[in-house]
Amino acid sequence: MSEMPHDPMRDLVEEYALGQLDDVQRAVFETRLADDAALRRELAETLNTLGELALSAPVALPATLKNRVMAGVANSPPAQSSNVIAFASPARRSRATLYLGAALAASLMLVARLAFDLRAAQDEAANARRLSVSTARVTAQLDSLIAQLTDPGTETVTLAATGEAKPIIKAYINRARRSVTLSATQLETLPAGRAYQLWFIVGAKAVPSVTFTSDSSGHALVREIAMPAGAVAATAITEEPAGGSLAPTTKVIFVGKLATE
Amino acid sequence: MSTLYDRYAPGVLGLALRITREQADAEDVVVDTFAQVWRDASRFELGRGSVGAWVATIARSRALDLVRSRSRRRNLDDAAEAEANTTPPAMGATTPSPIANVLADERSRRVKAALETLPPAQRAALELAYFDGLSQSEIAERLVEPLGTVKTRTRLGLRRLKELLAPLGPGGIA
Repeated sequence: MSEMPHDPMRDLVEEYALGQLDDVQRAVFETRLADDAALRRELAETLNTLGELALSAPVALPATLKNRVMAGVANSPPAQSSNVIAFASPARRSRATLYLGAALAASLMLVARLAFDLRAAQDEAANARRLSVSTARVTAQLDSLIAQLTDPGTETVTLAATGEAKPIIKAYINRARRSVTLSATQLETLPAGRAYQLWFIVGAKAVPSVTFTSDSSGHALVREIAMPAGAVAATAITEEPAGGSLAPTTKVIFVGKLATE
Repeated sequence: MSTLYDRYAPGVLGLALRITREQADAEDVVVDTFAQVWRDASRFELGRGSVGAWVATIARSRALDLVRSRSRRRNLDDAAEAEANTTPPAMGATTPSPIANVLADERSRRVKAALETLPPAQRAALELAYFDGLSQSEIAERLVEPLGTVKTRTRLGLRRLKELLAPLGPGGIA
């Protein structure tokens, strides 16, 4: 009897319940949550456990508190729309992460777009009673992205702009797999023949990596970029000829320092 | 709402005190929490956990927001002085309460006992994540441990707690 394959999403239940996933991870998790009853059940059990923990130290209530609560309730009309506190409130965010929230909307859109494509393709496939080639492709893309983002070994590095540039870039780095996924938003559209190039800083040397450009809305998602051998201290991005350069020819636009290996 | 208050307010105040460490702030959290519960009652989803879990989530969020807001206003000396002058209730401890009923006390005792079975490192990671609202990276920095180790400890600690508290059943805080 074969063993069930490990589902990396299961490892995110606790982090989600504690509000510790970043925006992209949370979007991926919630996408899956919507379609996975077992995952929802597991999450509910985890939230119940945290609830037990939270309320396990009751204290005596001041006599006046109930009146204050009831007065507060009387002044709070029931909500008609949003303004709901989700179960998984995000953990404290750094300033960079707060800025990143807006920027990551683009990444979320990319993920959501993949998910939407996947669902749309799945509907189509159901109607036709077969999976289309596009469904398989999108499924593979989404699965790969989920695996990358949810791997416990993946660390997240935000590449800070060195100047006034608005774009925010985030790198998901998995040292064990020597792999990086890059997510960017609000990138400036470069002139024809120019591209952004990623560099890995190993020792004092800039090792060239992939080139990429943004789409018309300034988004870019580059998946599974191979890391070079050696201890990578940082990643950086410059603007280069579309074919890439062997060494940076322009000043660094973004840089992100990695934790020491 | 009165019934909800009677059932959950002692636990919510205990949680708020644990996080804010100040009585006045904790009481504000209780007021805000039940106002939020009232406003969003129609949006509660049973499938996403019990009522108690939902109330606790709101209370935790309110308390952490208040602490963060407060920390922005205060200088470091004020914060250090406040911490030195207060002793927060220990996690899972049952503070004597004249209105706590026997059943609630029993549940608290069992949660505390379950917590005490966790390895100290798992318990510490869980405490920092839940009651201090720290990110995994911040916990790793605080404990001087690798990020992966912290993630594993938090996950294992919470899973173990879930196993230990499962016999209490969903009616516990629902």
